[in-house]
Amino acid sequence: MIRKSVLVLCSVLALSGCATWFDHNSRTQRGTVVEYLYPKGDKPTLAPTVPELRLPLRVGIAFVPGERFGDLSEAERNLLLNKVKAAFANRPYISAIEVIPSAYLRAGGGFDNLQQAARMFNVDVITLLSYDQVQFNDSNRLSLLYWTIVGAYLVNGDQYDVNTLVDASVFDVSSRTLLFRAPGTSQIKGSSPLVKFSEVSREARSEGFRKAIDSLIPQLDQQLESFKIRVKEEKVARVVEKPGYSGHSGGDSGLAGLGLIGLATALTIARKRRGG
Amino acid sequence: MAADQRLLLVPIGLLLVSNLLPASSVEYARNAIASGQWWRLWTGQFCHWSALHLIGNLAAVAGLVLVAGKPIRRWLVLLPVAAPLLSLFLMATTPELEHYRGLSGLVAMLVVGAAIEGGTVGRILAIAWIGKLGFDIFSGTPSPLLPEGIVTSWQAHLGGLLAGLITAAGLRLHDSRYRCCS
Repeated sequence: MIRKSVLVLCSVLALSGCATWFDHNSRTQRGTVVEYLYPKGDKPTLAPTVPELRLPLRVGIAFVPGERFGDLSEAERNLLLNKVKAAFANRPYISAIEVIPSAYLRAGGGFDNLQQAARMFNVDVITLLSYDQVQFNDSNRLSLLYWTIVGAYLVNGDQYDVNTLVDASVFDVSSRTLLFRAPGTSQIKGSSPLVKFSEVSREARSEGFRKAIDSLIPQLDQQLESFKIRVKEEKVARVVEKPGYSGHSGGDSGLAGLGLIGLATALTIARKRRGG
Repeated sequence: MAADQRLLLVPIGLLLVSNLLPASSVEYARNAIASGQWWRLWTGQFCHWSALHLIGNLAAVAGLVLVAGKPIRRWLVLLPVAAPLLSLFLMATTPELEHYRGLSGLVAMLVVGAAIEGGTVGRILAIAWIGKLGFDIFSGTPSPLLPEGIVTSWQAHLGGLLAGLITAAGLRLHDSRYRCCS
């Protein structure tokens, strides 16, 4: 009798364990601008400088180097960066946007590393995309059906909640000044059977990044416009036009043109008088 | 009032409207045009940065009218047709040009008109004008008639000359057909 009871108890424990074998901890991946630019607690310098922006700008864009084993692959990063690039590439004051691969930035590299990359890609301004993604995993009531084994394949007993923040910080490289920043967020919720959970939630994390970038682009555009206004009104940056570039032009004949027309007019009048 | 005289009211009206309305809402602004504010294709060529800028361009038009005489009227009538084409030319060829105001692109078109309708003086003027355009392209000389920070757009002048050549070809074709049929 005791033997039977022990056997039944062991079987129950073993089967109920199915539901708890799965790791329900939250999962985080993060790459922050502060850790990259100010490693080991370096303090930002507070020297008041007015950055000089030479138009048209050459802009670099990169993800902040974060955790090595974050599951955002280089190819996916490239796709996301190119999405941002495409949204801003046709601005007349931007001559080029260069996507800087993660391999060119070193975790904790600081401004020295940023300036190296800027020189290498010949850019004046770099947009750094930092990210913070948290995934919460929970089991719902349907997970009881995992006891049937088949349930683990068919029943959506596990759910995830992926919260993503992507923050774009635009830095003037030579003055090491933050020009402006804009955030993009997303939340993806879903559920899946136990056996597919890893794959489905990985896709949700990628989707979270894609949606956060989609939400970032209009915010970045808005911040860019308000930065342009602040440059005009508050003089937060000095804008210098590179030779051959002017964002503002006038259709004007100039004094030389007016002089030519004036001379031609005088000649015409003189000829008419002589003729008359 | 003859038909061409009535049609002259169109460019005059456009000039008045473009210079009386707030310039920020009528100037050539690349992004605004791209986002659907298509009226700027017209008004951008007629509005101005300052009163001095406007006076300078109007003086140029008045001089060309004197040089070319009455036949220049039909060129003036065609200015509202050429204006959006010139704006589109700037959009296509000068992506770095964000904001533009001024009549001088259309003045360049009238210079071609003066060359055709204004006899020897008109032709000499056009040759000198093209020389000046070449000088502007290579030197980028600033104009004292424009406010500080605004540079002369030689691209608009080039576009205006091209618009003038197309207009000349069109008018010539029109005249030859008219002669043939009458």
